[in-house]
Amino acid sequence: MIFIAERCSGCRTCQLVCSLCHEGECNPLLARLAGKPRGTMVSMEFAPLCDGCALCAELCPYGAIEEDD
Amino acid sequence: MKRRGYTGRLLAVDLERGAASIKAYPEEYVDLYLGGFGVNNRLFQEHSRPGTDPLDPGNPVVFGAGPFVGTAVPGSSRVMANARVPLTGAVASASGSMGLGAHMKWSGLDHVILLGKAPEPTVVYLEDGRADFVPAGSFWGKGILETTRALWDAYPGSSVLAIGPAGENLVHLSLAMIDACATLGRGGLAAVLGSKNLKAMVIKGSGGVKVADPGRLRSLLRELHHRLARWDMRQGALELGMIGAWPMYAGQLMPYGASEDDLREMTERFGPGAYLKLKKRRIACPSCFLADKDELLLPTTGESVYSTSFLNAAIIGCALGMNDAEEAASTLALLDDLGLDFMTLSWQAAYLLELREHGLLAPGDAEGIPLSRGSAILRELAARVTERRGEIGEALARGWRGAFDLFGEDTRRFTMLVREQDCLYDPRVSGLGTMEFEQIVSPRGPTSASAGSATYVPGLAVESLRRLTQRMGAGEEALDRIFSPPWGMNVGRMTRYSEDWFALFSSLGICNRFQINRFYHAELIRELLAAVTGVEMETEEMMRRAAAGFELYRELGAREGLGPEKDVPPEAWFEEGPLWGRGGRLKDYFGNELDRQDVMTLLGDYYDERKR
Repeated sequence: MIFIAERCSGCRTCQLVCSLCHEGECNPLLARLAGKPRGTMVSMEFAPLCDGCALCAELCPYGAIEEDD
Repeated sequence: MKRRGYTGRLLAVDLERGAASIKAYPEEYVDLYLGGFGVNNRLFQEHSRPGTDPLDPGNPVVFGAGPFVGTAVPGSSRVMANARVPLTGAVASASGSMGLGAHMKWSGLDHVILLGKAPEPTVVYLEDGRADFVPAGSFWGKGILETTRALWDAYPGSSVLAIGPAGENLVHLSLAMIDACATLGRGGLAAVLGSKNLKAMVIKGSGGVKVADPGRLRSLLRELHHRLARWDMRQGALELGMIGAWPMYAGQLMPYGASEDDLREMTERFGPGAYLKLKKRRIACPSCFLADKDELLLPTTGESVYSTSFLNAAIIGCALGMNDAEEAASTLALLDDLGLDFMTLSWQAAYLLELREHGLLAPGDAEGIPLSRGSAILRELAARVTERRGEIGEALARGWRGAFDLFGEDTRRFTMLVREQDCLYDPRVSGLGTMEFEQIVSPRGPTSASAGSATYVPGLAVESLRRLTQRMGAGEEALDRIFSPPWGMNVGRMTRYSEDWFALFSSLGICNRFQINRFYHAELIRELLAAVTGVEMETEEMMRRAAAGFELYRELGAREGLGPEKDVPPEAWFEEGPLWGRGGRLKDYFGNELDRQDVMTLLGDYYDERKR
């Protein structure tokens, strides 16, 4: 999975749907994308636990996550 | 609490003693009002005494975030704040966004209640339900942006609600900002926080929101996102935000009597092209699919500023005839930094210009305030009102009441007010849709938050309006009453359902902005409510609970002597002549002329519909 920082608007939908899907609750800290928020910006890194389900890419409203080849 | 979506806890913060205590969320309130907005009204009723001065320590501030806040439900970041506010004396339920509500939920809180007054300027830091009280001496007097950035550094990953110097100085047209780019509390909420010696409230949560049926919620989210992906205006909205709908707004922003050439010139100065020259990046609230906030780069100074929305810069730029987008954006950033309501201050500037034009205020008597269009009058007024400097600055800091005390009650004819708050929408220009009509009946005076129905979009056919009102949970009988002769669409009756729709969104935590709420319908919300909370109920029952929250809101206003007797349309609506650069004959949504008797009839229909 690839995070494209310049497209990200900081909405954290990726983290919320990831934790919902894998942990049954909406909790950014349980997401397989580790977010480093500062103010209105969040930079994301995929954690080793990420299984590539790509729900985050599917539901990101801003196209900031893409599946790699 | 057995229901998911709620944390089941609220935090009572005693500012005087510097102590906070967790309390259980009364579950029966959820049964009555759903959460967020509705429960906030109930909690305010419980913790306040009627007649308390807005700036008295006994005036509580109640924050609430509904069950969807902090989840992935699109556009669910709304935090509500109730307090009695000084501009109007009304109990206002303010609606804000950015990260405050989500962090409340992630820190295990549905509501936060601020009580009393801190003995010295204070920052309250809340983390996972614990409260720290930090002296705010070094921040007092600082602008909102500097304060917010410093607190982000001190508390990484947090959300910051801050007031500026205007709130500290108890200015009645002050408002607070969340994360430096979302406003909260038209009518002086920041003055209420300032009166409590509260410079900022910082919240950081490390938990989450448990939902009842993750699989069902995921399916609903997929369906909703795929619908969004098919929206034909999506790409433009993502790139341009609110200003992408410039052709829709432009007609309303043009000065009275503007020509096609004027429109072209204003489009060049403040339209999408002008925005793109300043745009650095778009900023979204948590879970929002339509970012409407901006970070802008001002080319002349190289300064980077936040904007609540570039559209707001365009509004003041057009209203005061500024030279270009940079001038408008930098002026808006200044007002946001001071914590001033840009609309009220802009109308105060327009009011002074009316006084000059009618020979009631000579330039030599204006205490150095430049009485001409442009950003200079707004900048000078902002400084004077914030510091309560000079006779004019002190008077206008007390809002419209102060203006009339200084310049005379008869100067009211140069304003467009309801409940001593300036109108945001002029129905002589945009037609009397629900947002325009609701300005008369809103318990807090004119706001931009409530009554966001389909009449936001001009030129829709009756059939479309009926379908879109049905989406808002109005039943067939109500639809027959609304869409009937002689009006075609009875805006008084329709406003009741627009308010209930707002109450539903705000009680659950979804943004009521039309660009967001257009993708929702009552049945979908019922399904989402079941998936998040585990509570199944009929759509009618859900709407009944939302309406109960709005009824309670109206009761809180009546309790302060601001009931239906204050629902008075401004005289300026019935005058054709230009005021504040706008003018024309009062007309309905379809463009048919209306007179005073028509408006009073529609008002009667609104009350009738509210009783049903």
